[in-house]
Amino acid sequence: MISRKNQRLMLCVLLTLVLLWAIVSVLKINITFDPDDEVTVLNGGWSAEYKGVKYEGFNINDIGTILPGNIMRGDLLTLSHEIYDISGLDFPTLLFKTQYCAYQVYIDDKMVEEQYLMDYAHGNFVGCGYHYVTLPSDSTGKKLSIKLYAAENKAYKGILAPMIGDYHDLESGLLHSNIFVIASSIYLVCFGLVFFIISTVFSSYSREIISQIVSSLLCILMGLWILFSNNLAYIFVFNSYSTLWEFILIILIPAVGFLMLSTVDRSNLRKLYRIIAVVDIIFLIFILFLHVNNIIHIRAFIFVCHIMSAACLIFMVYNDIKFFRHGGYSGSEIVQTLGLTALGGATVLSIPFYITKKSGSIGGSISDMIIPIGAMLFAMAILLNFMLFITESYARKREYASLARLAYIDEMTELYNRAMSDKKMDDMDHSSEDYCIISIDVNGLKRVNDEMGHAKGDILLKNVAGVLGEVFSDKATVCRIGGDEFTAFVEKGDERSINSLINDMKLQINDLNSENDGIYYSVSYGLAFRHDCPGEDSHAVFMLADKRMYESKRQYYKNIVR
Amino acid sequence: MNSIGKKYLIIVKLILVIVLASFIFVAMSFIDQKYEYPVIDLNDGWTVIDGDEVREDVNIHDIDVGIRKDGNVLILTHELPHERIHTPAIYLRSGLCALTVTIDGGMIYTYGKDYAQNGKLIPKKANYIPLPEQFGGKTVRIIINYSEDNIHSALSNVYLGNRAELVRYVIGTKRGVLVLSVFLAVFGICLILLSPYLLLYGNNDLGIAICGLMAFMMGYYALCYYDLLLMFSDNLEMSTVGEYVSVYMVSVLILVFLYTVQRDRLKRVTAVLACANILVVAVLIVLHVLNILHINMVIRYIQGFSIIQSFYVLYVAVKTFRQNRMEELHDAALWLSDNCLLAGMVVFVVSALADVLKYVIIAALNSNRRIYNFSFVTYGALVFVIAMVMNYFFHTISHYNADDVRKKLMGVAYTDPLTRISNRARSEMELVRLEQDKNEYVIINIDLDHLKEINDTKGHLEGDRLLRGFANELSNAFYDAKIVGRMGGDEFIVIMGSIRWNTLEKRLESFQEELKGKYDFSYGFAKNSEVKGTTAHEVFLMADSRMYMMKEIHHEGGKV
Repeated sequence: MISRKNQRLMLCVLLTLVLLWAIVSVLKINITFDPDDEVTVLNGGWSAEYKGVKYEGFNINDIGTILPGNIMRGDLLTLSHEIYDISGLDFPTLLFKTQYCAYQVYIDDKMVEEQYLMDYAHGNFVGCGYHYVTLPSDSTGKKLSIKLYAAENKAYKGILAPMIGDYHDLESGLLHSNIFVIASSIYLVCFGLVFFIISTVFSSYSREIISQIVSSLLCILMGLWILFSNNLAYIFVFNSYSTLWEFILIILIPAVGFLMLSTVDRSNLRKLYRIIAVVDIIFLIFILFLHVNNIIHIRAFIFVCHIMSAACLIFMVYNDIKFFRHGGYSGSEIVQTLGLTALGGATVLSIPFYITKKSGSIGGSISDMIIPIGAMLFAMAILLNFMLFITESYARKREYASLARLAYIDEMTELYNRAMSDKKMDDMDHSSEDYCIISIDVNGLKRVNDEMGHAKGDILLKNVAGVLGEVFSDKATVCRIGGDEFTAFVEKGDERSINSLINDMKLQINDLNSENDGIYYSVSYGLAFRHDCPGEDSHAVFMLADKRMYESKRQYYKNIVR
Repeated sequence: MNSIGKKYLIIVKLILVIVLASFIFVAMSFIDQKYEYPVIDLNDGWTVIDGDEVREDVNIHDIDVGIRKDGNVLILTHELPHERIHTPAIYLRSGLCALTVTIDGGMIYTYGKDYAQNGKLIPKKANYIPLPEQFGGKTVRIIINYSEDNIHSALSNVYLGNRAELVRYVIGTKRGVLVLSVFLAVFGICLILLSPYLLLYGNNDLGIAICGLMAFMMGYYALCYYDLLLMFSDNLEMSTVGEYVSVYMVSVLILVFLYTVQRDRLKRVTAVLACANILVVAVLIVLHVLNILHINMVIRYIQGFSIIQSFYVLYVAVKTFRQNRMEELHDAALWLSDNCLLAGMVVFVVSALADVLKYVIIAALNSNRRIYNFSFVTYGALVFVIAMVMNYFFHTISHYNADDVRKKLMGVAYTDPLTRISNRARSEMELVRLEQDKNEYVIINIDLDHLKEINDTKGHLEGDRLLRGFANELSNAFYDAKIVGRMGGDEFIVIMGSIRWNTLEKRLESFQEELKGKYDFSYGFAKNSEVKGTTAHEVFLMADSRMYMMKEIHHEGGKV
């Protein structure tokens, strides 16, 4: 049997999945891509020259197995292929990807493009990236050669099969297949930035805020890393530094991960986590120094990043186990830990793909999407945390409202009670505006109670209160401060408008007498303005109003007796 | 007074954040790329043939586009400058019209004819027109054919440059918008995905889903309006229709949003209006898809209607705002959060009105078309989203405030004043909770020795010091416990989650060894898993009796 709680959880997950499916399919229908002209992927039929040896007619995806031994810095690989018919293309373009290589592109023996050769000559770092090379429109049938100068060891791992097509088809195709990666990285960076600014500027120090700052930082770094590691930063900035940034980020991310752990953890390990994070950052500065001075390039230290990440993941798993065995955490802590686990899990999942990945692709495959999905789940967890706060504060608001009702409402008449009247007088003492207090007393309540019973007395009170509530509704605050005593506070109004209010009240009370329920309805009242008692507080004003009310009451009884 | 002062502080900080954010935004636009070839601005010096009228040397933005009718033809000619550019191209964005481009009489580019022949709406497009390598001194002629009534679409900037760099350049000018709109759209999707959770676990609160939908629509609108969707896709029609649909949807969603915050009799009017709007959008989409009535044809009527509607929206918003003001100010942050969203919406509606007004003024004055490219709505949308994010944040502040108050109250009620660890009430509450949770747990009972002697011989001050010191040691040693508490007098309790018997025994032994001489104590512990179906109280008693056994041994040992 499934408990009610689980049922609701399942319904929730199901609904979310349905929504996700709906959104994805709507977007898929909307954002389609179908190249106008033919895009040719040059897979087979390549010939190559490497270290004086020629290789003929192979598939470019197998290049890792064909070339002998390890590729060392300074090696030159020349790849050649025949160009098919490109006469139908508006902007014939070659798209290919290099990794740690300088390159030259030749059509027959004419060079059409070269890049990074100066950097290569000076021993500078050369990164990875996509390249669009414009082909002359008369290239049909000629020989295309790409010369790759390895600037690092193991430079050719995973060459992307070059493509030829119309420029816009190639670019839109590349961006279309990477749309999820691009959208999620932009989102992560913006989201992280927004929450980073908000948390740092707005909050006083507290443990929750620190963990928020760290998670927003993690979001920013993950977003940037996703963009850089997929070589897509070229949409926004230069190509040349993107690989360097990728490496910097991949070292920084475990450091922030450890910081994150230190905010989640409650045991003595917190200090250890912080020390690791600081050591990691010092290490980063050190190898950046080596890198910039071309002593050792940052790529050589990549194994350290892997070790750090692995350590971070192991601690994360340890933390998770402890967390779920311990229990007794708040909803927001659980959500946060789940988000972090999703991110860690995605990283672990992507490792086998990373190892088995042979050749480059233009992205968009599942393996490229695992980490972005994990990072998105992490960001969703942060957002959900905020949502939990919102629902909570709405609930609290309602609670306050009901408390306020209990505290300030007179149950019998539904008008405000004595407490509200005291509060109102206190508030008015704190403002400098003029106001008017009207003291109202129901005539003959005691006699009705005595002669006709309390039920009739209640009716008398309720009917009078009803009239008062209606007449003064949004113009004054009416409170019942004692058995038959009412006070109205008018904050905005001159004598004329108040007189008309009082006339209204008298008329309507008089109208009650036409109901013939055996009760004679009438009230006495007295009013006083603040300016009647200069320099005194609201209590004095009230006393004056009360005094005037008693005068009118006396007048009323005199009339009756007469 | 304090709460009002706090409110102003928050507003000051808010302004600070907006300044900072815009600084980042501006700084981003400085990350620019190097170009090998020049990008030439071709906006000036066009010769325009508009029907029978011929004008010379016109800026492209000053061409009176007005409202075009079916069959209108506009011919623009320009002599190209002498410049050596590899793979040259001209960039021109066309709106709902067909293009034919010739150079010295030879046709080099055509777009949109096929749509017109099928009676379809010609989508807008960012055209990159390829030029021959030797273009200098030649005359380019752009023929614009309108095949539909009521087209009111300005011409864009025209650039000449290297084809690849031109693409980079045009995208580069829109980088900020790209980042913002993608963020908006994805943020919206995230909010929508979270809405089932909030619907089921929150208070049936649909506000989040509506805000999410609104953010998505605004983001999508900006993506369509600035042709950014076409970076990823070649679905020209979707981008054109999407622009119209998303902007209609935003106005619908504003009404729905208003409905959720409104609290007066007009609520029903809002509901009816919202439904009517949804119906109109649905009908328009169907008509457009069936090619009966193109969605651009009704834009003027829709705009007129939106103006009336937005006045209504403003009226209701201001009224709701004033109602909120009259309420009690329990919490400055919460007050701000409620009105923040409302204020954001008001800004958005006003900016939309400004856009429509601009439209009317341009049509009336018939001049200065250059401000045409400025869209108030986009900035209004930005303000709305900032308000939305702020709204969440004020809720968080309120959450922390309330949390602090609760913790303080809890602290007073459930802390032992002498030792600062949990008191008996707290410990007993935990025992009750343990029984409900049905997880494994251990109760450790600890009895401190010599308290009575010290109290008698050295005074109560010294006795208090003993208790405090021991409590401190205990809570340090059992940092991972659920509860470390003082049950009264010299009795302490530690409650832990599942832990292995041996581990616990070792920990306690070494703890006892460590403190030997300074604090002597006896202990006993028991697990709920020892006997099936025991209550927490029985486990407690079991631990207690074991503690007494140890105490007896200690005393006997003392005698020997």
